[in-house]
Amino acid sequence: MAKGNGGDTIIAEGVKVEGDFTSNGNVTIEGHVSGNVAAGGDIFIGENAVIDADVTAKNAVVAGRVKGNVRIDEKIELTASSNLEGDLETRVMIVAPGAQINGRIVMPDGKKGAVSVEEEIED
Amino acid sequence: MYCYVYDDFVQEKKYERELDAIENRITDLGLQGKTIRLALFRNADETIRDEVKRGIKTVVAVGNDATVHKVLNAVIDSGAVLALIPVGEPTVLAHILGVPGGVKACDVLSQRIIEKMDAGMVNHHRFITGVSIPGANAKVSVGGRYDVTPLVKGGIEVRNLSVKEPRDPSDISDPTDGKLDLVIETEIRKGFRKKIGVTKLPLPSFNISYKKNIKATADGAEIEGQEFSFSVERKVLQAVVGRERMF
Repeated sequence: MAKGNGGDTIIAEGVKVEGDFTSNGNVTIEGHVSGNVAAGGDIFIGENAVIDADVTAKNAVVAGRVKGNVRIDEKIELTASSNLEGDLETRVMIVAPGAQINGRIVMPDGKKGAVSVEEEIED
Repeated sequence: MYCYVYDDFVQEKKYERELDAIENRITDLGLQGKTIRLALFRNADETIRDEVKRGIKTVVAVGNDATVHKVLNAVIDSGAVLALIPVGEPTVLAHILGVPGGVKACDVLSQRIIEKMDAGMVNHHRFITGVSIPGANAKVSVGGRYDVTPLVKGGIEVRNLSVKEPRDPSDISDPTDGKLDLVIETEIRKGFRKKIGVTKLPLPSFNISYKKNIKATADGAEIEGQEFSFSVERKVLQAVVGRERMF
């Protein structure tokens, strides 16, 4: 039997969310968010998204702009169009050429401890 | 055991043959019961409640989506089971519940597959399918924790199931999850191209406010106001569904 598309949250382009936004499931953001974002599942931040908030989630794929601290339990993927202005805490990180990160990177399970990146990552 | 509630419009001549066929099939299947005929200024609520007190277990709405809306409060409050025999249009709810139109619905009724479903509430009005409401100048407030605002032209739907005829199962909200889906459609223009963005938030309760009075449509019935408060009543409706139901 067919089921509906579950409890995932989508914030599309043309919509603004302000305040402490929380969701137990997966979250896709293509619009504007300011305040705090906490997802119990995975978060996808689209290319046109503008996030002015601290973000916490289990896993993340970031293609848009994030201004705020990001704390990811497991893995984050920063695509070529991503722009992160803030500190990042994650266990596993994948960074595409062209991604911009301006902030401290902390990898709790990493042998070398905190890694600081303050320049644009390029090819 | 069964109480058949005929909407006033199904008593028109054009439905006579269809109703005859339905009544014959009901007799063949041994599902006969009491009949209540709705009229323009007759409220069926009290009659339905009285019939349930006398032992009626299933209230069968014979008509369209608006017919269901007319019997909904009495059915839920009295703890009866709701069944549908779709006649006329629109019958979005019957389609989602897997109940075919006309005489074929009698066979679904006889199979008696019962599903417990949530009911939505908007300003103390119950609804089953959903509510459509203008998107312009709307502000959605979720428990005082965060606000959601459409920045461009669009519309808002609050779905317990689906407001419009669903194109595929992804258009239908789960009516058993204790949440309503707040769906905001926004029109994004990029050069000459236009794209529709669909925001979807599954929420147990929220408010939508406007600066002036607007009209919302809940299960086809109009509600006017400036503030709309939404919540869910968990699994309060027992409905007879078909094997082809979409949730």
